[in-house]
Amino acid sequence: MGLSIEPFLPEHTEAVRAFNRRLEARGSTFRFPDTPVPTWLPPQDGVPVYQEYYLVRDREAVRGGYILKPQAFWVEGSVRMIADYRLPVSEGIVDPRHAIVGMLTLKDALKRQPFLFGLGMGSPEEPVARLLKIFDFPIVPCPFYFRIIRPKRFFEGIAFLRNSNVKRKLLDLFAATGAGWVAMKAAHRVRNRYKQEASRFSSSEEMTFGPWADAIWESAKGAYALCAVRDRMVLDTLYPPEEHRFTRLKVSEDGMTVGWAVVLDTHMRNHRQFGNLRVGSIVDCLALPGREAGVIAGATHFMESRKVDLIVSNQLQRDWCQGFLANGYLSGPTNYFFAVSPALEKLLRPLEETLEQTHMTRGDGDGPINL
Amino acid sequence: MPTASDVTGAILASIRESLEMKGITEPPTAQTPVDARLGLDSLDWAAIVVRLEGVLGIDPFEEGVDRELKTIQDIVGVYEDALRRRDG
Amino acid sequence: MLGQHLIREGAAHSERRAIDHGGHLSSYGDLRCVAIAMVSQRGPLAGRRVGLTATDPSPYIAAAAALDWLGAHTFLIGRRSPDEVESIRSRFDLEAVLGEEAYEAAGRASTGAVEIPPAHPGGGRVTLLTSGTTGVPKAATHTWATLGSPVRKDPSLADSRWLCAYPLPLYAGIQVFLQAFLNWAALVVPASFDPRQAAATLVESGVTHASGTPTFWRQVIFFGGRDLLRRAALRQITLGGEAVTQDLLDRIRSLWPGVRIVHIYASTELGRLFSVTDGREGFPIRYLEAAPEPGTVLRILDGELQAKSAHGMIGYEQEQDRAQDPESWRATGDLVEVRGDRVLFRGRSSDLMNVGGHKVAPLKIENTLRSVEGVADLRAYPRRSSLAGQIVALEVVPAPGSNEGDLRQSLLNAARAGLLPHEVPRIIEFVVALQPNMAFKLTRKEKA
Repeated sequence: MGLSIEPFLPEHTEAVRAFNRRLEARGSTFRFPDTPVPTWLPPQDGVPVYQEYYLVRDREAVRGGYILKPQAFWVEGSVRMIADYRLPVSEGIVDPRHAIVGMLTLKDALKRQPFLFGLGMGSPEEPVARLLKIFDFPIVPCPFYFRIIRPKRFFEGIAFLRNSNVKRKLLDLFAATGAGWVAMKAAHRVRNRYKQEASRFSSSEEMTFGPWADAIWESAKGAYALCAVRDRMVLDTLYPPEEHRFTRLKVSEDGMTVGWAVVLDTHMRNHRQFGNLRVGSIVDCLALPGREAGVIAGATHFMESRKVDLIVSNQLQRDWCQGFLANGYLSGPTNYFFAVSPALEKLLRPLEETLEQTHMTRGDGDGPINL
Repeated sequence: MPTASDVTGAILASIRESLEMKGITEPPTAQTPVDARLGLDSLDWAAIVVRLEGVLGIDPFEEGVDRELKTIQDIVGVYEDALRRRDG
Repeated sequence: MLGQHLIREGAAHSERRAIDHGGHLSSYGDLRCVAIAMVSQRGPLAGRRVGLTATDPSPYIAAAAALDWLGAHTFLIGRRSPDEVESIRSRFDLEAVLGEEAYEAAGRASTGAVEIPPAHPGGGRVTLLTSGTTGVPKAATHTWATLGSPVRKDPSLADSRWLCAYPLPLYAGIQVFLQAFLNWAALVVPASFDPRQAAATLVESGVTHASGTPTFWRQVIFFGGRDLLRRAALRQITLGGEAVTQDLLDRIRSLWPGVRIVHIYASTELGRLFSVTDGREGFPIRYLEAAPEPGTVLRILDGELQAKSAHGMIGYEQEQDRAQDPESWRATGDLVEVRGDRVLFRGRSSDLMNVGGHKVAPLKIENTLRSVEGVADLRAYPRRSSLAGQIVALEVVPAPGSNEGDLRQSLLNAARAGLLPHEVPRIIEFVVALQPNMAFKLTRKEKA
């Protein structure tokens, strides 16, 4: 029967649960949220970041759905709403009769909001990325940076390096002899130009984002061609004080606030990439123009004192990328990609230049899940 | 259980939809007679009943209706009885 | 036939591209190695009744060839839930069921030069399960040789690339894959049956010959985008499985002016009966006297097309389906009407609706209303009514930019002008897309 796409209403709840059960029965791990009001970022008066759930239904059942996350963005000098296209789920992944559903969700999302982007996706070969490519979304990688704090634990635990038998044996050897630590330290030293300067930056843990965060946003935004609005209200919405896993670091240089970073400290359990390592991540950040490396230094120092095994981050904007390298981070294979709709790309032309001034972190998009 | 005015409203809306499909614009009321003067044939009534099943969740004609239907108000009565039986 | 073809003759064609599945390429050599490894690993299955659930092209073809070499009786189950597979296993007394993991196991083992166990004398049989739109699917048994008999073998097809938009375990899917394979050409299977993906695949994989149902082609044309589609270097488009209407033939012709359009008329039980290539809907009336396909005989009885075929199945697998003797006429289930020099399709007899005692054919309603401005696609189907048995309902996919209110009025005006009163749709709903069934055909089952 014919398909229609509507917002998720309370009366659809049971049908969504049945949909999830069908996916599970056919061996898929995908699920669509089964509450009409999102638990993360429900719409709230006056808050310019929220989520909306949409369902694809025929007369018999729910066949799929997707999430739209409209958010205020600073775009080429002014604020406008654009939206993140998230979590399209389609019964087509287990039943070819419904193959059309995935594409319909993207068509619908573009109708509701032509200025659409995608973030995350894992790789350009994943189904979501492939779908976006078919609709002519350019897709670019958001570089991945890492810094090893405790090399022996790192070498023993890092899953993504352990993919081939040869590498596995070599790394075990390194870990045992301590040779790995020496090699890694040498690499870090060569890049760590900021080591002395880094001591000028100090960080303090904050429970909430104060007026200082608004001040940083006002001063920083001009340096970006595309950046989600990161004022106090939005930041308190994304990283509310009751979410204890987030640490909000206010970074100062010689007593003056120059930026902030939101960090996570997570003991991983059987993580696909990180095994059982204790991973610190710089999830989100903002700085006065020119102070990016300093903010990274402050956040890095904080995480080092917490004795995590390694620190990771994904970035896109040029100064942040260079700042991580200057702080002795290495770059590794990324699974974090940024895609823009044709309408958004047109707004951002020329795209290569704009991307250098586009701020995308793990705090954008799905939020820091999996970290 | 839908209120009395919900039921009347739903029935009038469904009848109005079928009338509009035939180009009849005069809005019906509860007193409007439901004979041939209204301009609807048996298949139009069938469609009205199908649409109402989608809205109110019941089809009182499934088991046959033995009361005489002279006006739209009589039809409203049939639905109200059926809803009362269903919802208790 | 299939086992011999891949394992014996395939040695001479190792480098040729066999499969392009969502961009992943396999050569005939790759498939041959895996099939040989499977033969070695699955020796005990020789002559047995084995179910095959794999649907991805490489696992499916390698396993089918291996099982044929082993003389097994292969049941093409395809992708179904564990409960359905279990019920099929017990219904047909299957001794084993192979899925994609059998291919993976063989893939890990195959390393190159392998001693090939001898072929089972007599070859294998293969049972197809009809798509079963009404009730329990029937099981039709063929051999790969009979399935391959309609295939056109032509050396000029060696460099062709065949897009298959049907699930491979169904008759239509098998026809496309054999058409490619028996000519050592490439089979292209898109990563998904999403129309946009299919349109992109037509272009990116250099498809030269593409096969799909009319519903598939309508969706690809509507959702795929004309600019993208025009770039496809198609030489031939094949349609089958559902009635093909003139408007669709015209739409295809306008997108690809030079392409050869073939409409194939076939069924799981009867095999291919005939094909039409003159660009007009229906088929020429002279086919009733002499059909172009050798061994096919056609007649019309009570408005329904009946046939006898040389490409037909060996027989039904189960007693309850063996109603007639194989030599007699079989009903196709398709209603037809003779108009001038043409026989036109009027829909499936099983789709006929009963509206207040009147018989109504959904295709007649669709054909009348399809040309209304603003309609991209539509489906007529019955809604159950306590007052009238069934009433006619319409699902419409509006063309972009059309106003739903105006479109509703236009449809009603056209319906009242061109249809009998009981045929006029009483319920009209707008949808973003129509949904086909597993075989990519539109069903018109009653909805409560």
